[in-house]
Parts: sequence; C-alpha cells; structure tokens
Amino acid sequence: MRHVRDAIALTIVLGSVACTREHAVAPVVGGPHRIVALTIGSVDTLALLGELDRVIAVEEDCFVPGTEKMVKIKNDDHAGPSKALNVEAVLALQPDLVIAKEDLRPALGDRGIDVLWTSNKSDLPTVERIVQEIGDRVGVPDKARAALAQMHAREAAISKRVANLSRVKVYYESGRPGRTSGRDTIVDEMIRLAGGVNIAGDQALANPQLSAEAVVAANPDVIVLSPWGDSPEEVMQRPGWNRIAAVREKRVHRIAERDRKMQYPSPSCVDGCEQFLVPWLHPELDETAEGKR
Amino acid sequence: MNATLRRPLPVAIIGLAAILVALIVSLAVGVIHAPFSEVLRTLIDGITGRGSDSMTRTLVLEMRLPRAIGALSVGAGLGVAGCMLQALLRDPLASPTLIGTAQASGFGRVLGVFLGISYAGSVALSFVMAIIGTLIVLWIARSRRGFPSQIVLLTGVNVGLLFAALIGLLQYSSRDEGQLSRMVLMLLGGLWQITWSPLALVVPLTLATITFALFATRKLDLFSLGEDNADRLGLATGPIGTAILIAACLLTSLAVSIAGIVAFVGLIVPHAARRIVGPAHHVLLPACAILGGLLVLGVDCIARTVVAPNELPLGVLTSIIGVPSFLILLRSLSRRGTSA
Repeated sequence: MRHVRDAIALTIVLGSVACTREHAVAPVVGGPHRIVALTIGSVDTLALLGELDRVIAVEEDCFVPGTEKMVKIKNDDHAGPSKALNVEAVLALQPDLVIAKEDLRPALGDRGIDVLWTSNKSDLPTVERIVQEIGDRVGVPDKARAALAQMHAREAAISKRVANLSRVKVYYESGRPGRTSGRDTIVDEMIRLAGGVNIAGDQALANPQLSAEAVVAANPDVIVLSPWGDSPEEVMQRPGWNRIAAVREKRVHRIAERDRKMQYPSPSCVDGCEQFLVPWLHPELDETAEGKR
Repeated sequence: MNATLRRPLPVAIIGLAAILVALIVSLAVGVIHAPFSEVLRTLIDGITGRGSDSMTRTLVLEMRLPRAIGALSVGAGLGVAGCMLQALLRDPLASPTLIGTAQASGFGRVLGVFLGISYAGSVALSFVMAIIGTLIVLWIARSRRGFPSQIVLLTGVNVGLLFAALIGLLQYSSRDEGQLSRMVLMLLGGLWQITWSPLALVVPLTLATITFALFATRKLDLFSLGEDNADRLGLATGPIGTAILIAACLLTSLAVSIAGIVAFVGLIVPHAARRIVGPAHHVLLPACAILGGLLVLGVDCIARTVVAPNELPLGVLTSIIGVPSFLILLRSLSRRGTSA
C-alpha cells in the first residue's frame, strides 16, 4: 500500500515538473528568429508576412519559394501514411519556435521548446486563426490583420465574379482513385468559393473514399486532380468514366506542382482558387473577358 | 456430410450455378440502381454483341463485370493456394498470409512500383518474391523430421513481418507523393481500379494454375495424409512438391497483383470447403476455388455498398471476417489436440 502511495506521489511530482517545463518557455525578445515550421501552410503564411528570414527549417515537401536552401525535416504534412518525425533533428536545431500540427503533440510536446500548435482541420476559419496567431507570435500582428483583410477582399471579389453563374459540380481527387476532400476542408471551401459544388461536400470525413460508381452517378462537370496520382489521360480512360460530363467534355484538370498551395491552409489558397479553379469551373468568364477586349 | 457433395461433378455443377447466381446479383447491386431484368438483358446483349450504348451497359460490362471476374479470380486463386499449402506442409494453419508468401508478393509488387517497371514486370517480380519468401520460411523451418507446423507458422509470421517492414521502407523512401500513393493503393486490398487489361493476363494464368493443381490432387492427398513422407522431406527439391509450391506462390502473386494483400481467404476457405466436401483433394480443390471466389465476390459487394457512396478496402473486410474464423479454427484445433 505504501509503495502505491509513493508511486502516486512521485507521479504527481514528475507530472507537475513536466507541466512546469512546458509552460516555462520564455518568449524571445524581438520575436523568434530560429523557427522550425513543420506545416507548409505556416511557411507560406510567414512568407506572406515577409518574415521568412526567421525560419531555419521546413517540412521536407515544402515548395514555398525562398525555402530551397533551408534544412528539410521529414514530417507528415501530406497525403498517405505518416512519416516519422525525427524529434532529435528538430531539437538539434535549437529552435526558439516550432510550428506543428496538433497530432505531433505526443512527439514534440513537453520537450522544453516553444511550440505553436496548429489545428488538424484545414478550413477557412482555421486559416484565419493560424495567420493571426503566427502574426502575433512573430511580433507582426498588424501585418497578419492586413493579410487577412486582403484575403477577405479577394474572397469577396471571387464571390462577386461567380455570383450569377450556374453552380458547377466538381469532383476533386486527392492522390488515389476515389479519395477526395469532404465537408469543411480547404479544398471544399475553395470549390464553393469558385462557384462550384463539391460532390463529396456532404461527407463528414475529411478524406472520404468514394467508389467509382458514386463518381459516375454524381456526374461531375469538372474533375480536379491533385499534383500526384493519376494523370487526366489516365482518369479519362477509367472504365465507365466516359459517361461523366467532365470526361466527355475534357474538363479534367490537374493542379500543377507549383500551384499546390491551394491544398494547404494559408491565405495563398485563395490565389489558387482565383488563378485556376475559377477559370476551370467557369471558362465562360475568360471568353466574356476576351470578348470585351 | 452429404455423399453427393463428395463427388466432383455435383460439386462442380452446384458450384458453377452458385457462381452464376452470385455473379448476376453482384452485377445488379451498387450505388447506381440496375434492375435484374436489365442486367440480364445487358449481359445477353454483351455476349451476342447487340445492344445500344446505355448507362446500364457501361455499369454492367465496363465497371461491375471486370470487378466481379477479378474477385472470382482472386478468391479462387487464394482458396486453392491455401489448400495446396495446407496439404503440402500438413499444417492446417498454413495460408499465403500466415506463411509470409502474400507479404513477400506484396513487397515484389511495391518494389515494381518503386522501380517504375511495367505491370507484367511487377507481376513477375511479385511472383519471384513470393517464391523467395516461401523458400526462406521453409529453409529456416526445416528440420530432420520435416516441417514442424509451429515452426513453419512462427517463421512465416516473422518473415511476413520482415517483408511488411521492407514495404514500409520502400514507402518511406518513395520518390514523390504520386509514387507513395500508388504503393498505398496497391496494398490496401481492393478491386476499385480493376480493368479488363490486367485481367486478360491474370485470369488465364490463374485458371491454368488451378487446372495444373487439379492434376496433382492425388499427390496432395498423399502429402496431407502423411503417406509420402520421403517426398515431403525432400519438398524443396522433389519435382511435384516444388511444382505445387511454385503453383501456390504464382496464385498468391496473381491475386496480390490485382487486389493487394487480401488476408485470411487462403486460410478459412480450405477449412470451410473441407467441412462441406471432405478432405479428398479431387473434390476439395475445386470446392476451394468455388468457395474462395464466392467469398471474395460477396465481400467485394459488401465493400462497395455497405458505406455507399464510400467504399471500404477489401482487405479490411476479409480480416474482419477472417480473424474470428481463425480464432474459432484455432480453438477447435486446440480442443482436438487436447482430446487426442
């Protein structure tokens, strides 16, 4: 009995020490200058705020311009099975701030480093929260507010542009056949913003796996493919898919590697929506513009 | 047990009728409703080369039929492979998954994706790896008294884990997201991407291998009854034993090549078939092919309809069915061991 009591007491003491350590990280004067950013959205946000020079390491697949020579750390900020994070590699860099998704808390929490946890969700309210939090943490809250205001203005401009156009049914494929984005994901929101209807927009799962028949039954007008996975030609040759309006009218588009920021939660997702999603969904807009010219 | 079901002809007739019914049912169920009458008409039109371009025709002939044929081929192949391995090793727990053959085959398929080689090349690599994996297990497990069941099983599980780790290593080293995605898709266990072109290679090879196995049923009886110990001891070099082993590996790799790792079919199908038709391989082997085909076809129908419009991986469902069946089998074997 005494041993049990001692063990409980020891657990409480160690637990309180651990908790103290997590909260004991003092803020750096002038904001952090050795940031390890493990989400592509956070790197993109820092670049947008003009604070990329504070970053020393990024996620391995990061494609944000200006990060080419930075230390790359394998992480799981992409589709497919998780890749293990080497915690020692992060600690060895002696970061004064790490930006990571919530699901890395077991690996990175309680290590005596300052971590800004970002939500695993990737909808627009989450983007707004991340941008403001990053702005606050690096000491540029006004820049963050300005970036968000600009993002809202562009969202409003896109909404106005597509307001009177008919809604287009869109199937987005993320990497492998049938895998798509469900309700309240950044892709779903961008499709809606661009004047489309995500055929998986009623799915509660973030990444539902639709059957081929379900896609044929939904008969999307446009198919948008992520940069990885099957090409438009391969998709158009799938058995039975010649019944789909998007395939018949050759409206199957693949997001280019350089444009894939649309899939990550940062203000740049609106760029992708504006630059290619709107023209893919509403080619008549370009024709009208050319007609006016 | 009904005496009629111990003869090959009635088993073949009943089995083929069951397959025909299951095939038509599978062609009628799915996200898009297609009435039986229309399905039948489309099938007849497809055979006679008549009929116009319609949604039902696309659904039945281009989407559901290749999938159903693929399911039958995978199930038949795995059922027969499991039956042959159980007889050859005289181990009721032997199956392509439990002795590591399926994982080795899966590794070969993933390696094919990693190296960027053609589909036929990947199937060949998958077959070679299945043989290597099986030979490693038998080489390690071999003793002076043959192949002790528990040692084969333990070695198989470990070799399976080794190949699973190697698959993980390849995924970790994948060149880009596209390659990783293809590897994951390959191994999930499912028929959602099946088309006629891989079936044109896999189905004839599966049928040919099963036909070969039917010629070796007498030898399989001898192996399973332990009446041919001398041959069994020389398994790795004995021509018939080696040929049966190669056939089991080929059937496994052909199944893996179109559906990924579909667990437990090769284990539970021979046991279920044995309960229905008895242990004689000239009836058991065709029964395994029929029952395996029916099982995978049925599970695939569930996989694509139970959470519609979403789809479940086939391998997940066969495991959900297979694990309790395996535990029941283990329990009955341990009871039999205790009573003996």
